[in-house]
Amino acid sequence: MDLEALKEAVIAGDVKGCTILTDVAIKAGHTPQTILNEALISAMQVVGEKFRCNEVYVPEVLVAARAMKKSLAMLKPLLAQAGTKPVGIAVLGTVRGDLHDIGKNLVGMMWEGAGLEVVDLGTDVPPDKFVQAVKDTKAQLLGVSTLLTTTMLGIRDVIQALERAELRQRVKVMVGGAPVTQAFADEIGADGYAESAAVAVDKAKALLRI
Amino acid sequence: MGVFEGRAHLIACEVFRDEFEAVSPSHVVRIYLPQGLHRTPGEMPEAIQEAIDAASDRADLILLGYGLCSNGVVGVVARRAPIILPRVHDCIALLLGSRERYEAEVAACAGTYYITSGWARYGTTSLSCYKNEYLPKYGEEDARYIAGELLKHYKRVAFIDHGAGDGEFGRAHAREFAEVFALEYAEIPGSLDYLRRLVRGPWDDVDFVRVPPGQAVSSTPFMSLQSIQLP
Repeated sequence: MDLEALKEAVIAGDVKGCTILTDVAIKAGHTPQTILNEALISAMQVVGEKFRCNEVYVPEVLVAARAMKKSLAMLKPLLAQAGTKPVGIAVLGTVRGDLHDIGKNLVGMMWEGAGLEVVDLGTDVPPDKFVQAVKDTKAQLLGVSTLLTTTMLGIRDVIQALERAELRQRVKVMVGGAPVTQAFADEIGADGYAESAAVAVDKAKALLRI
Repeated sequence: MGVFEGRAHLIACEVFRDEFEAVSPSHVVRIYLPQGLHRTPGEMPEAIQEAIDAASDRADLILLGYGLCSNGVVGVVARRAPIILPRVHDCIALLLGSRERYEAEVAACAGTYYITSGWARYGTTSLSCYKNEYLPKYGEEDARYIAGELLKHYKRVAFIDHGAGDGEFGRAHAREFAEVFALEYAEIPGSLDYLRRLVRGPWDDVDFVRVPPGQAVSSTPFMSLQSIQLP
């Protein structure tokens, strides 16, 4: 059974279809890792590209993500059984003053799919909360996001707080969000920048060398 | 600085149509572009540029009825006229009358969805999207899910009352919004002062950004504003 139908069901946001097809795929003998990579992650990469080109908008991305999440939930126990250990720990959050999280939530899901353990701090996160979480979890990766131009400089505050806490060298900082650019990321001293959740997976892997 | 005597053209987001019609001197030529361009901020400068180019030969001054708007004004340029626009990140500061008012409201309740009669009449809100797009396209369950995700962190809907436009229409929209999505409903006073100053001057350097002829609008003067601080 090929995984194309499951991939299409995710892209279409068809939760019922995903549930049925994930079950079929498992019973047909596909490994959970294969289903994850070939159907789920690749589906979200297609959705991400369509979003980038304005072929679909936030509603379509949301329903696709919800379908992916349903499938992923079915695969998780199997991934655990297969003894798949997390490839790393990532902390994620939206900066202080910003309540937006749709993109960030997608990144979290994609990073989980890639094998990272994700600690999501939510939205409106002050710099010292990011720092504390990196300290407590010993995370290798920190993702900071903002949708608003008003709060963009808050990302720099987080990086500076990591420096003051002498944690900056221990964690790779990746930044993103609609107004963020590579130039801005470079200017504030981030280690990486991803313009979409789909790209965020490859960038995270490159940064962590996994 | 004195009152501007030349030919001023205002290119503004239609969300401000009623407001600018109420405060503009009659000699200011007024062009309104559809609300919502900031949703595709990569394409927004092109739309504004087109309007600037159309006005170019007849304008001595271009006034933009926009803030930084998700970088949607970045890159626009007027060949022979200066551009003046308000030093704000988005329209809410303009509708409330000042950046300080906006910061105070954010400090009071960060999760606020602001509505004006202009938003209700000329723009799209999560309520109008829910009724006109999500429900017909996805059905109730998915439509609720989408709206729920978008509004997850909002606590209240605030109707901004500044006296311009159809207040009852705006209030009704805001009340329905609060009811449909189970949010608190609030009314807060707005002000036309900032918008009035944009179309009449004088334009100080604190509240306005002035871009010389031939130079492109950049985000730098907006980023030097302090980011909104929460208590």
